[in-house]
Amino acid sequence: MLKIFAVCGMGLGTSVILKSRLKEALNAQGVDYMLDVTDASAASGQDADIIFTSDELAQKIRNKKAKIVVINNFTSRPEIKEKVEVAVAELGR
Amino acid sequence: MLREALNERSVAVGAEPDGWQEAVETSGNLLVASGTVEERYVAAMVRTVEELGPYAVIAPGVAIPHARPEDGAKSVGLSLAVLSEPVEFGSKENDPVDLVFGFSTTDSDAHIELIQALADFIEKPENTDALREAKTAEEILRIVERSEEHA
Repeated sequence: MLKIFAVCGMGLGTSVILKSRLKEALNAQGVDYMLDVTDASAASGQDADIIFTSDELAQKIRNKKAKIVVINNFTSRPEIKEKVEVAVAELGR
Repeated sequence: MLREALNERSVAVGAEPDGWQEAVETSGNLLVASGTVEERYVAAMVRTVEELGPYAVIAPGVAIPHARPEDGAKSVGLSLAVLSEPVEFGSKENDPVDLVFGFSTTDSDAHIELIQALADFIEKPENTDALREAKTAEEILRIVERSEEHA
């Protein structure tokens, strides 16, 4: 099972959009995953495989194990789908 | 969904803010005017962007500033300020911003459908292009209405 986190500031705006877009993309990929939303400091200590976040927040995350993926347009299904596919492939799943 | 959340008081065209703080305040004052937040919510929106950085800019040219429910949100609300001069939020990929959607929610769930409808609206360039061409609040409301008829 892939452990995936969406990292956002407050859990109200961007994270709501990112979570629903990630779910769509992960379900389409057919991978076994768990998906949680958290903030940058909590994400640094998480046992995570992939962390999706913004460029600005990515710089605040200190997590050596996880693959950190930067999303630029949080509304874009094609961007998120492509980045999910690449990240999942790189992990060999 | 979006059309019901917006009205003549929560939409403004032609704002010329001096910097991102004023742009956020403009969108917040529209929430105050439409009665979904207390006045203190507006300052909290600015503080939130200061604390969290420009990640409120979610797509090219589009920001969705907000604060916490306990910062004076009275109900789920949405506003839109279309700026005639774009402003810089400090977002590497998505600056400059000329569409500012302020929002409020009373808890972490109440607004989810609204925010998802907003994301679907923003995702389509024909919608954001049309907003940028709009001259009046009525035009904005018609653009939103039309987009939802075709959704």
